[in-house]
Amino acid sequence: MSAPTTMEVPVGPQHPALKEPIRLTLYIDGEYVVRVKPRIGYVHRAIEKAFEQRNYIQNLYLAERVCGICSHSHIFCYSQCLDRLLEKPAPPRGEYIRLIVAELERIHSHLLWLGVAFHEIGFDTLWYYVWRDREVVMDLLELVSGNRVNYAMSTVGGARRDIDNLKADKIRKGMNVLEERTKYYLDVCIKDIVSGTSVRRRTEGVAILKTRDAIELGAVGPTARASNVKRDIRADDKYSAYAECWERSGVDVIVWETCDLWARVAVRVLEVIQSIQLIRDALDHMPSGPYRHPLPPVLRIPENEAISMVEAPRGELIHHIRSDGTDRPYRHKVRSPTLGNILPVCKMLEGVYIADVPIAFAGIDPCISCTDRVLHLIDVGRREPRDLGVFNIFELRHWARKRCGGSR
Amino acid sequence: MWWEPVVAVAIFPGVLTAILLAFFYQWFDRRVAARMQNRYGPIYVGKWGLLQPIADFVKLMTKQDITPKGAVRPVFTAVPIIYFALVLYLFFYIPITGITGLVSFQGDLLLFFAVTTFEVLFTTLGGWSSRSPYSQVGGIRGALQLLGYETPLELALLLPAVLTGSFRIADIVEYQVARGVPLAGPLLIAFILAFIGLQAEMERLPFDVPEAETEIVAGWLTEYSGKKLALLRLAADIKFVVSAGLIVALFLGGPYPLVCELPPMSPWLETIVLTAIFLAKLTAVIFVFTWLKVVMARFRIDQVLHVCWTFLVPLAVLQLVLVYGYLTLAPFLGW
Repeated sequence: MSAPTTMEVPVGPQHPALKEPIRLTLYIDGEYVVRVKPRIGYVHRAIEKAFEQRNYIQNLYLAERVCGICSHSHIFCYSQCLDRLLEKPAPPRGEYIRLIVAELERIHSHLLWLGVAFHEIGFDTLWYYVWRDREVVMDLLELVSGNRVNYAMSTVGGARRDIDNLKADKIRKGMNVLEERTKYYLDVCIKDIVSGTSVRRRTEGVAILKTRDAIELGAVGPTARASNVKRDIRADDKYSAYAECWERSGVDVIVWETCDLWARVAVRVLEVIQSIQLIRDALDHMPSGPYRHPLPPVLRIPENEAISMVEAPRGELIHHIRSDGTDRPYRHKVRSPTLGNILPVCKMLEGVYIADVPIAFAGIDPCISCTDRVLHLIDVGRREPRDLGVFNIFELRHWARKRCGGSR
Repeated sequence: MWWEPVVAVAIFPGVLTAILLAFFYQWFDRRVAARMQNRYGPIYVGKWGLLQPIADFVKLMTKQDITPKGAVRPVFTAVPIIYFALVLYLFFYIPITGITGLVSFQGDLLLFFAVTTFEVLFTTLGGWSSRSPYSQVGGIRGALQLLGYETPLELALLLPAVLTGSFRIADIVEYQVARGVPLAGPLLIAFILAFIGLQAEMERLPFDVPEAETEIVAGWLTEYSGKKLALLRLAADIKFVVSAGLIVALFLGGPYPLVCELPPMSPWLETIVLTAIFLAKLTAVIFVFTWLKVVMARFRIDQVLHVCWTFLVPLAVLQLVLVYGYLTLAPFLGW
């Protein structure tokens, strides 16, 4: 379908509107986008191959570094997967601590996105406000883990550090502040006559993803929920401590009917409030006892296969590990949520103004660097295209040097 | 004395004053916006960061000046100079030390409009000549935006002229001084429209569509660097002062206090007092401009046109009808 009136505009892999490299080829008719062709794979880090080359304990650190923002989701998912491989669930207190950190991280990630979204629509004031308040949750994460980004709070068979009463009280206080501020942002976006109108003017009816399309294209996380798809791993799978906390705290999957960008803003803001409720509930009902099983010095896992799913801030995250009796995984597959949202965002972009492309693309909260997994190289330089298969990073470097004719 | 006009043009209230005011109000704008946004703003250079704009300007002047390979060099080079000259020229019309500015004649308000429209033409030309897609889109957006805001803005700014019956800025100031009433009162709608329209004219939020950072880098300014960029930035700052100064002159009674007569005093002292009053009013107007920038999200280009034509133009026409109604009825009612 190439109408003669369309113009091809490449966005990326380097573009000021993009924080990370991805190429979106926009087919433009006047001011409107007609079709979008995505191309990913610019930040392939061969991380899955790296998983196979390290042992399970080393992989804990590697899993945490798949993503810079939802780092705990990855280590949570990975350690849960190992628990399943070992067929030995973590102690309840450990599960609760994992949940609390996961929800704190969700708050920080959603507030981060909210700030970026306000910046994209040119509303820098709210951006500064939101990021200032995000510091509250960052400080709490630092308090419980010692780190602002890679918390290292989850490990095989439980949590690595405890959350005692003193820390719990501080978290409760922080949650009060955040709840008040989040409600303020909701008020600003909905009720405020000057600011609210101008936010909604830029987001309402923009980048619509119909419920049907969201299901067909496999949207995940807040993107799916904003399209009125009731899909949340925390409610559907009830993994970890969510089995108890979800029902008890009386929260429900947050969906929004308008399917547009405004819905994505609203769902994320409401999810921050939801996370606050979950954290409060988990802190109030934290079981006593150990928070981690002791680990053997060398962790060998008998031949087995397990899959683990976690609701990361951006949506469904899957780790799939196959063990072969050694201390290293035979295969480790990570599917991060952004991959599921790439096709939906291309659908979303159809029919939007060029001026709305940055905010519409930011609407899925893309995290390209944790999405790029496998680079399947096909050598087109020869007469017969030759499939070179999948490389690890060293082979890739070697191959690239050979192609460039470099001596090093 | 023979040197008086030279000093007036070169130093006060001419070129040097314009540049210093531009630097000061850039700092003011940045600082106030920063405090509203819970930031510090410039604090390091000079007392309270007052010298930051000058430091920025000097830094830009020393930077490498790049002309893109595909650019139309003569146009690309001429645009910053002409743009700066036009903006500076407009500053001479703003009454600072008395009833008139440096230049004043019957119809200067119309010339003012013509020159501001020229400026937009040069932004489009600058964007086109640099041959970068971002600049071109920015330039075209600037021209497109002009179609939206120009009508309501110029209607709003012409209403004082309609009411006073003169196209001369000095006459409008005099009218307000004679009656002791700032036109912002009777022409409230036009006063508000002028703020909105001038914000668009200056390409500031929420109308910074031609320079939308997250969409088209820096719009028509993208390819400019070094001295050219420094000149364009300075021009933008002077334009900021000129726009606010125009509002002060047309709607707030220029440099006169209005509430009371000035007591007789020596010409030197009078100049100082009037300038101080002018600066106070200018600061208030610029504060409102800064506030407008802070509380809103950026419009999309189609929304600019939509808001201008469905919302601002009818309001401007309503004000026009009110003014004509007043002018027609006033003689009969003995006002």
